[in-house]
Amino acid sequence: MKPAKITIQGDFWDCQIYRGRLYLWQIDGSLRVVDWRQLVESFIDLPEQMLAMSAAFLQGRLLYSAETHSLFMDPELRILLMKKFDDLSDRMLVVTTDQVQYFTIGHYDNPFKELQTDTEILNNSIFALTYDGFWNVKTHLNGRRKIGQKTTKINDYIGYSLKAGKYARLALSCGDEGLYEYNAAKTYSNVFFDKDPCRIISSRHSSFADFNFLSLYNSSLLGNSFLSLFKLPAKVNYEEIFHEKYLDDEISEEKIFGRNEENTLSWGSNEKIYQASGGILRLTSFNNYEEDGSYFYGDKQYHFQNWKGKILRGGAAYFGTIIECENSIVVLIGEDQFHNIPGSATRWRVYPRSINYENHLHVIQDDRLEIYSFNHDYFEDRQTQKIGIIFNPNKPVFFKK
Amino acid sequence: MVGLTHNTSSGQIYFVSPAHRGRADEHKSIWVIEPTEEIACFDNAYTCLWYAGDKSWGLRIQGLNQLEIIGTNISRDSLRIAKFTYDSGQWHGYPADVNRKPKDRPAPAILAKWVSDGLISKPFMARIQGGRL
Repeated sequence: MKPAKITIQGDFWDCQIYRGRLYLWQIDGSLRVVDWRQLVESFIDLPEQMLAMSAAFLQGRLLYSAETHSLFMDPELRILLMKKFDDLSDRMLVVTTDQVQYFTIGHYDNPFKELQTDTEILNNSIFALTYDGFWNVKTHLNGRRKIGQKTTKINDYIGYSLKAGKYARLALSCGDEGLYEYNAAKTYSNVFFDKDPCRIISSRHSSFADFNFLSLYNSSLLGNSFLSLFKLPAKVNYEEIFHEKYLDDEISEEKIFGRNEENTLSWGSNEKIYQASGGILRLTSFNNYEEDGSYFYGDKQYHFQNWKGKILRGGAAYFGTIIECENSIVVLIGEDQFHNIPGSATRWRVYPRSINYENHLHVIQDDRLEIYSFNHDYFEDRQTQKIGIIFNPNKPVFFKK
Repeated sequence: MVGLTHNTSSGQIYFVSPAHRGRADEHKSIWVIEPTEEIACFDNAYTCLWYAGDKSWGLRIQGLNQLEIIGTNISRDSLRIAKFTYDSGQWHGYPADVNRKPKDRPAPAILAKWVSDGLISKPFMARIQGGRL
């Protein structure tokens, strides 16, 4: 099944989607806030288009709810719904530079004063890494101004990548300065109030990182990627996790996959760790809480075409894993199932932490933003091993295999 | 030439630092281009206004995104961007290690200028910023 796509024309540098608003940083140094629902609904011309359009672009959580899944298991409904998604995928949904103004609810100078290196949105705040440090500004305001007036500097850390995890945590990859974790929770228990909300995870080189439950996977384009394995003492409350978890081990990519070839890149997210090299993607599953030390299980191997050049970055979503190469972005969604987005992209984002945009892939190209919606998961058996991360609607803090 | 100051055609004083030549200091990146080429690289950067405050960045470019190798880092990896700093009335420079040291990266305004001048593409600018050159 092809993904559906909405294209927004314009010269963009960065993008985020959060609680019904699309944030577009333009290369001219401005930030545009767009009413996403209004934009999507403008493409609904007929009532019969509403279900697929809404499920694809506005309510991604429908993909994974148990109630919806039972509907999609009905053979007659499946045929009908597949046709609706196929029809949507065939449509050319384009918003021109002029049209985007109609959906704009705010247009401001970039609060970070420069074309920032990376952003994340958590707890109604935009966090940004700039050349001048680590900043945040309030957002999702309901008054006339949608972005806060005051941008606050958190610290002087500068780096290459920012990645949000569950429980308001952010990973900061700072090259040779190492990998840091920041606790963005609004409140701290009294015990930890005076502690620094930023802690070093590793002093080894970090290009980008992501969270594997309590642990973090540190990806280095210079080689030697590794998992920082964190554990918790018994009976720790949610608020105390950040300060109470302790580093148990650093497990190298070589130890996880048994090999570390030239031009290899590995990355992790949730229960998955991936390694891409020479047209082969290796995958292993990870259980943070295994007590006998066998943290990795269920190895799999997939093939992808390797004409696309050097591997620059990887990431994971529920719908699959994303491999950014010099000349293309490859979205692997299953065995021999992939979607290529040709050309080198300025930036791409997935939103697995979000509610309703879990199936989105945003890709900034030279003169446009492409918003892909992957919907094949509606028709898959959820119990089988997936290439993407596994959705668990009631995932407890302490995940058990 | 190495260890001496030079008056450049852009009217600046440039010091060819011996610390970035011939592994004088094993913790520093070194040039693989000649001292005259290092000075010309700075002169071009300054003339093109590729500076922000007391820092400037230079390139030797063959075509869109085709940056020549100008130096190596302590791991002998190739480096393609020059960084120049102004101190005590003179400039000096070294090959910038943008994949290891975020502080070595050209300022966003300089990168944006390289994009608007057609030297690099916007995705390439993002790669430099993200330490993925």
